[in-house]
Amino acid sequence: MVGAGLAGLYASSLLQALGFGVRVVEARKRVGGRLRTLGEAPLHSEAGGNLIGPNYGRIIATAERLGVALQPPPRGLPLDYLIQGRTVLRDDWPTSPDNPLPEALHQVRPEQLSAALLKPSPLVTSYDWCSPELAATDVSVLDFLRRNDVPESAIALLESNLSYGDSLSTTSLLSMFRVQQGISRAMAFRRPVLEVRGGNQRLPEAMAASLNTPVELDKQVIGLHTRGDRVSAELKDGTVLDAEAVVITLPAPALRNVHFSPGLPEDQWQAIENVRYQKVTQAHYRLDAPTWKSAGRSGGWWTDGALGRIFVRPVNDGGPYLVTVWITGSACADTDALDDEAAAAFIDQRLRRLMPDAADGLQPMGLVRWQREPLNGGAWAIWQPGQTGAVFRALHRPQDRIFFAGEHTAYAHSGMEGAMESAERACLELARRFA
Amino acid sequence: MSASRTVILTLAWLLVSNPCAVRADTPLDGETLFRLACQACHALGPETPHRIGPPLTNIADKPAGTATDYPYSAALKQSGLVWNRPTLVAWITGAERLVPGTLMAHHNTLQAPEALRLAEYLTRSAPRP
Repeated sequence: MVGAGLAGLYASSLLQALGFGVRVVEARKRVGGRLRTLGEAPLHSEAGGNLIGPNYGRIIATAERLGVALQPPPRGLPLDYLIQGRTVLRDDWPTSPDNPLPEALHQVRPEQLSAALLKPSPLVTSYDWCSPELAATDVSVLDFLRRNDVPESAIALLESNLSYGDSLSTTSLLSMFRVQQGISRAMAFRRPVLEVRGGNQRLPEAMAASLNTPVELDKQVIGLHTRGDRVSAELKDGTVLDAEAVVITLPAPALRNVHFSPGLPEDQWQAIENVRYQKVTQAHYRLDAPTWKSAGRSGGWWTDGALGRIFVRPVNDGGPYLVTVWITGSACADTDALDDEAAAAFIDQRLRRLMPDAADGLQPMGLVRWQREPLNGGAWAIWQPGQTGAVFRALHRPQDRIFFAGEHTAYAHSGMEGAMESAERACLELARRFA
Repeated sequence: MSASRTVILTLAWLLVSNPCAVRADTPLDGETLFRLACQACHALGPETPHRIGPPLTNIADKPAGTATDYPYSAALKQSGLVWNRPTLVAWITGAERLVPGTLMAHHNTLQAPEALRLAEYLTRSAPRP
């Protein structure tokens, strides 16, 4: 098993239960992949996988099986808006002269704009988004908006804070319908979202601890060589592991650094090369007092500028609070060229200007830039128009004794549950041949 | 030696000498398929707690959407389905098309004979641990 994120750990537990001997290697010195909790409970902040949907059946069942407690997270504070440098308080949005939207859309908040404008969705099933027939007719979100005569002011607002693409012109419309459908499906359960008590990273840690053999950390696979009925995994430290089969759960940018011999088919390699990953830069802070209240502010922010969104949530009623600056997509370019210290200072300066009352109280907890992590290359796979059909499918096509898993290979779910779903599929493919 | 006998012997030889051929023909049993496709969300034992989905214990011949206390979608409750092998195969291979609006988001990766074996496993009368 290559990779000890959710997909690798869940696949390992499934294969173990079927009687396979499983050896798990992980390049990092920790398990969990894109689940990463900063700080110590209760003052911990999630830099990776954040909320567990009420429809995340595999995650919830795994947590229950391992005695990992789940709980509804404290409610995040509402958002005010900073548009073109001007503040619009939440309650003022529909009537504010600084609301740039046309009259008909004045009531729609920036964070709701995508759902308001991107419809009707052609998706019926949770996996229609990747049907080759629909993918053949896919267009960019920008094309769709222009065809529907959406005003440029709304398009400009939508370009800010994209979570599933670098720009509207390169974002698959089907992939956005998939996101909206995922939210609707979660809400249909009419149960709260959840998080892991003590931090989401506790779940992969418990999963790793439940395996028959410990995860081998700090072991990066750089080559997979299939010869006859064996696969040898070449590690960066020079050692070679021998296996009957391999499940590789690395995200596409990390797969690009693995040498496959024989080489992967051209279309599969092209898919691995071309699929893009979401840029997410986060600066995490602790803040002890609700300093925004005296100025009549809501706490959180949605901006069309360099800071993206700022999410604030209480740890307990009345504080302390966790403040996360959440910058996505092309807005990450401002800091991507900088080293960690300079990037943190860039964000810090602007945050303290935006929240002057909090300036003395903000205590930095860490900067995370998923796109700059060579083992990830981004936070999650994002799809360009036309990629959701053949490209998506090529990514996880088994090659002889090598099987592919990871959230980028999931059909019906995305994120954490997608990783788990992909593990089941890869294990089924493997079991068919080797059980 | 007749031609047909040669073919049979050749095939037999291929099967024992070529591990790939043997493995490709090894069908996964219902229990394994259940573990890989259903178990995370559905219980199937004498004790039948709800997971994210309802328990599947003794499901044969039961109308869909009738496990006690499970908050089914209106779509499934009104579907008129009764669980038997054919309806289960149809459900396993395409629940969301069979009953649009069901809560179960599931992409089938089973091949047709596997779906049938899984349906057979689920409709066996005795409850399993």
